[in-house]
Amino acid sequence: MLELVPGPIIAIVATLIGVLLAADFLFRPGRARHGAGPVMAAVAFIAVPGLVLTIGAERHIGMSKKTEFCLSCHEMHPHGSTLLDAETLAGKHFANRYVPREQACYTCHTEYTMYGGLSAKMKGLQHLVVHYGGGPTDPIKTYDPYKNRECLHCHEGAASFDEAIGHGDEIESFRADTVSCLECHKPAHGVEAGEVTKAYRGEKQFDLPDVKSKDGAH
Amino acid sequence: MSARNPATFIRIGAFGVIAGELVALASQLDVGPTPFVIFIVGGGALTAGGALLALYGVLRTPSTQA
Repeated sequence: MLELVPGPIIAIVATLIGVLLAADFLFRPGRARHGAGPVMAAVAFIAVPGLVLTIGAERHIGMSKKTEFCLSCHEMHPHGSTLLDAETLAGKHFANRYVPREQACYTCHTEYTMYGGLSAKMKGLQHLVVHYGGGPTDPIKTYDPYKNRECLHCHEGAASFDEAIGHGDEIESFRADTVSCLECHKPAHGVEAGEVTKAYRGEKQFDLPDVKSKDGAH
Repeated sequence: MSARNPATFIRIGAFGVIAGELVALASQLDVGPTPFVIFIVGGGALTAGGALLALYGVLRTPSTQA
């Protein structure tokens, strides 16, 4: 049912109901303990605000998965620009639509585990602190070495993967992470040292893909 | 209007809830970390704080009060 109604409409309607209910108490606070007053107070100050904030949080979490969200921070521009460079692993995935363009960063940088999404969101909160707290390290590094599991989640079993020279013989090494996919398929982004700092300070501009348009070209 | 009057708590709380809900909605108009922070700090804190204040006022309101 909820998918049938656009998210913004649900958010607007819920907010409107919340504002009207709270406004009733703003102008008539004396009704709080009369008749249905306590019930209405619980609805106006617990149920509806809870619903409004839940809908808002769900929408913000959804938006935080977007490439547009990641590239709204200047320090991510160097990495974002590599999506247009088909010589890099990220660029190959973007150009060939191996990843959804509107969620390019999230698709590769979220662990494919039960709590992978939650873990990504917790790291995202850390990124907020770093962004507003003086900027990231340069170069930016992943928290842990990139795991083959994230690659194999999509590629294992694909004809193009199975037929590639060396993949069949090494599959157990890939699964055990004793041989990293990146050993042959680097660079992932190929961002040079110093670029992140320049981007964060606004000293250098980078070409970025237009991730709002359907084709993702810049 | 006394500051200790339960109605005052309800009015201020209700105002906080209205402001918080509107800020939460407005924050959804843009994509990025700043709107997200505005949603949490502006929308979430204002709404929650206002709701607590209003409920405190409701609980302090005598049931016989007109």
